[in-house]
Amino acid sequence: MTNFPLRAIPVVLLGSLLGAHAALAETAQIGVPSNGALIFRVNCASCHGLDGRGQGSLAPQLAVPPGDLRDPAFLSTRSDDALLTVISRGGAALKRSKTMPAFPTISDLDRWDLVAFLRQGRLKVADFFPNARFFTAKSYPLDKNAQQRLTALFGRPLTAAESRMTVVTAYGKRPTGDAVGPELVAQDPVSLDRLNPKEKTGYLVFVDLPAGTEMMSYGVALAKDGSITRIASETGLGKPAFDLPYQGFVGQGQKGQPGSLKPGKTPPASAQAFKNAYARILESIGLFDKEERDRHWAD
Amino acid sequence: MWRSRRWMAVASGLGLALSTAALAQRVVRPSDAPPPIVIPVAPPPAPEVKKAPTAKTPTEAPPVVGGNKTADDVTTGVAKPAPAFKDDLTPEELARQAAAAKLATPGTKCVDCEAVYHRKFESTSFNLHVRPPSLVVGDVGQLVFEIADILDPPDPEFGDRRPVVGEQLVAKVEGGGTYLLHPTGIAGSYGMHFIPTADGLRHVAIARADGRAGLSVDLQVAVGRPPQLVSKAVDIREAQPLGAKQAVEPIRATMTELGTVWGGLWNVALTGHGDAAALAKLLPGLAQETLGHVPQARATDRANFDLLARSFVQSSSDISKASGPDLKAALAKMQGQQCDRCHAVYFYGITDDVSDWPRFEPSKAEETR
Repeated sequence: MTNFPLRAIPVVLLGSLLGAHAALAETAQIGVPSNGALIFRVNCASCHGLDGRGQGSLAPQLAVPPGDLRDPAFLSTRSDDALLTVISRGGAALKRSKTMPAFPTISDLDRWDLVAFLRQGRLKVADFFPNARFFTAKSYPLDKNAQQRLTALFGRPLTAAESRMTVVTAYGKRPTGDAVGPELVAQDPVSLDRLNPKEKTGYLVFVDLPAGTEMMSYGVALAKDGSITRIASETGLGKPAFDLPYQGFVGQGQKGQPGSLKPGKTPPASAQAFKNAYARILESIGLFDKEERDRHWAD
Repeated sequence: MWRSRRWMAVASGLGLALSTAALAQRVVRPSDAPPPIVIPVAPPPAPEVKKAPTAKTPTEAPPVVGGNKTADDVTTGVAKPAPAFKDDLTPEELARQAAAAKLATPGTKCVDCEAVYHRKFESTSFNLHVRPPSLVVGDVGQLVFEIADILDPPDPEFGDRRPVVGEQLVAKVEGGGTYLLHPTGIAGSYGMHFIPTADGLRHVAIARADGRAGLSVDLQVAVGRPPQLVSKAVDIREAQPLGAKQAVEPIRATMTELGTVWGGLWNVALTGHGDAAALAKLLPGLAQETLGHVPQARATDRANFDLLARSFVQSSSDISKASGPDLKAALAKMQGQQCDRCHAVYFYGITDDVSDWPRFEPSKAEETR
């Protein structure tokens, strides 16, 4: 309780209002998650594990380890259709792991329930940009220069996990009455050409941060200028108070200034972890911006 | 009361699973579907049918309504038995009527049949296929809409109906949220699953997902009520699987049923919803059906397959002895020792030898992936 940041109160209240607003614009469900859970248990848990983290009984001996289906960064780079295709036709259908078999015996509608189950409770773009029309997602390995800057800032070399980040970028505004959430735009030149940089609304990056004694995946949303607009974990989506330790950072930050964050009343260990994460976030969105500038140099 | 609650537990435990895998294996194919069993509008079911024990559910199903009953009668619960005119019907018609009434009885676990409602709105026809015909609270229900433009004069290619394709549609279920309708692989056919939360006649309104006008219609489905209360002209008929028909190996069919029962057992273990004993009783019989049915892709490996199948048969009866917290452990144990072992070779194809289970060497094909 002593760590309760008073400055977070208006942020939490604002978040509640935004949440209420998002609930008003009802997004259509893609299936029945509880039915998907049963299908997952019967067909998928052997490899992906009962919790979907990829630690099923068959996993250790597979040539290609099963993916972590609870990783929001992984899920944000896969559209619902892509997940459905992999379930229906196997990993080879999308040039992914051939170890993932096809499940033609599961009906189409049951497969959609499975996709709904995979999405249920996971952090997603609509939680941070409920009115966005499009988004794109790409995993970036931090380049040599970025790694050198971060190594100097952290005072230690980056771990393998730290040197790669997935950047989600939201665009446009969903038309009134549209019941479908933000649409993932594939990473190919023709599709990306649909995205107008002037309509960019912000970025979303997923980072692991301390939550009590554990590490937890958090989504950090930023405005176009790099300022933080929302920080939320899966647990925090349902219980905003869970994310209070980091709410003091909302409203802070700017592109090109990784050291600009003021920790306020955030516990020192958590504050340092967040500041490091923010520095990595700025480097990764810098890579995205560079790619985007290159794509639109002639506009 | 106890009996009815117990029945509901069995029904919901089994039904949830059945309504997922098994239902979806069936088909809604207007072109080759069997002739519908049409519920006559005026004559009600013959008294003999209503008295037959098979037409009743343990939860005292409401009477099948004929004559001039309407949806309002259902919601107010004042459905009265209509006079019988059985002399007007041939024995065949009576038999079909009895069969349809049985299929339409709320709570009947009819995984092979569906109710089809027909509606025309402006120049569009909507056929709504509901499975099971009378949806059950807490169980997965399937709604499939067949949407076609009515062509007048008829088109030489399409006839008088042209399927509406390429649309992104949503369905808003009264008291149940909004769902995306997914194309089912049949032109003009869009489907969804949902779980009803309350008995009664529920409105289902479909519309374009982007909010544009057109293709909007409001239909009703029966939850825990006879489908005839929604529309007197409803068809109750045997359904067939969605998608193209294909030959199914016997082992595939058996494994589909096993998966359904297995999912139901996990559901009981995790939620306490359903009757584990009833489901566990089905296991040994299904396990027995795997014997001698090696998948065709590995037909030369029949001896090893039968060895695993026999081991499966022996251990399948152990599940029925487990209950409460032990059930979860028993299911996990069996899945790890029996299911995964066999699936690693004969379903996933990631190894050729599981004699040293749980250790195994990846197959050569797997190593090159």
